[in-house]
Amino acid sequence: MGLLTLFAKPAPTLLRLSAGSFTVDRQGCVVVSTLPSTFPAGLVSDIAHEVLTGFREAEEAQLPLSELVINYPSLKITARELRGGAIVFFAPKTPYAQASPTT
Amino acid sequence: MRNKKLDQLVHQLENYLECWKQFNHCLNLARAKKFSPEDDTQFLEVKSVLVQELELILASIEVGSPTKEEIHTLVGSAPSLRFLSEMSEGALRNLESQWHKIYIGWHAILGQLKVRQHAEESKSALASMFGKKEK
Repeated sequence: MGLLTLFAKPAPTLLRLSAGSFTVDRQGCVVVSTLPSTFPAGLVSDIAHEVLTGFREAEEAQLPLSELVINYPSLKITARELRGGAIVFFAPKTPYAQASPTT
Repeated sequence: MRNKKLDQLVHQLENYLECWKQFNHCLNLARAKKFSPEDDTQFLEVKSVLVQELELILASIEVGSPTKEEIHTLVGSAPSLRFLSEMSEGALRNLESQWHKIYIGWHAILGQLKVRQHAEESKSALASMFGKKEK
């Protein structure tokens, strides 16, 4: 039994997906968030960074975007451009998602 | 030397004003009666962000107008897009005019902050000039 548990893969962590939103300024700093404080702050910063990069790259390509929608099987993320910043809405489709990919 | 705190406040207020534009966008959706349940959820989020950000701004600066009460009254009188879509045109216009008063009020505050920003810039430019002369 002990040998089996030694080689057992750790169970994937489940992250409870929450509905909410946050705003991010043009420098990438999260201004306010309506997401629960248990929601990983690192994840919010990563999403903010990706969203701002997406808007900036579109602008550089002279194809400015006003809205960016990312559809995951369990989560829909809608980001609206706010003159350099953004407001990001989280709309979960299922209550849980894996917090990190398992190896 | 730039006043980082003041610069940050200007950025914050600019961001806040963009959120107020989102509020107006939602009012227009309600007036056109073209909205989905998702738009209604996003409207609630926009209002939540507006109220939270208001507290952050009020913690940094004193604002005479628009008042916190005015903002809470406006936000409170728009519980949902469905509610707004069922309002009379007159009531919607009244809401829009309240929004406009608040929006312009925030622009006035932003203008005042930019005046302070310019004043600080010229003050520090003068200081560096005299600083060089002393050497």
